[in-house]
Amino acid sequence: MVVEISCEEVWREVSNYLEGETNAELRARMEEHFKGCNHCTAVLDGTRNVVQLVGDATIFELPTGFSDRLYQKLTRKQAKGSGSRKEE
Amino acid sequence: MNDVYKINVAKAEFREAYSATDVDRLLAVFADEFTDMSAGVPSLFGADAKPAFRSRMAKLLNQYQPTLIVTIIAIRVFANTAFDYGWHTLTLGPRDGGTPITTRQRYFETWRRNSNGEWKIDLYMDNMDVAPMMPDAELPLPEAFCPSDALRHADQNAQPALRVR
Repeated sequence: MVVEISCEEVWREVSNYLEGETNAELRARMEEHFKGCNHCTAVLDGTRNVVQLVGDATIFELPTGFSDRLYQKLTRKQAKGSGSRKEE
Repeated sequence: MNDVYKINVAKAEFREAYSATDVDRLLAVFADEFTDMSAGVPSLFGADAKPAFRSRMAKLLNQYQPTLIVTIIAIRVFANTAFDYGWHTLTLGPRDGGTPITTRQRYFETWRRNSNGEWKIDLYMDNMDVAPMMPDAELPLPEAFCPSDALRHADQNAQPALRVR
């Protein structure tokens, strides 16, 4: 028999669950809970996304001069006022 | 085993008793004298509650094969008293064929620890769930305060959503 678990307990353990640090019994209880609880499934998916984003070591190379061009464009836009979109 | 875990175990027993269509097992989760405020049926108190609940459940489980999903939102324990609340999603498959019926109830129940240290349901209350809406949406008036025509004109004979023949 899989023992019930409340949403509150699931939220406390969701990071450990994603890290594989829960014991087998707790894992089974959480998995059973996720089958019937959309709220906790959303929390699980959201936490998983955050963990992946934070842990993603990928560094994107920006094209040469990108920072200068961006700075100049923002400066021009600021000088013309936020209401004008003609330059775009 | 802490008290929250014990109540989770009792709640799993409640779920399993439904699946096993075992009325005695289901009744064993409740205190001998409890308050039954289930939706759609009269409130029953103390020693009157269990026989009436037994009769109702026996009829229900005789006519339908149930599958219950319990979603506990939270459990709070205060010494020998506790409460929990959440949802019961119950699918009833008619034993004589036909389309299964699924209902989702919001429930609240209080628990009391007996002299054997066992947690038993002391009060049970539920009502029909309503689909989630954003807080700033135009929310409907509560049905209880603004009943539909059928209930307004026949409140003495108001029936539960699911009738037991």
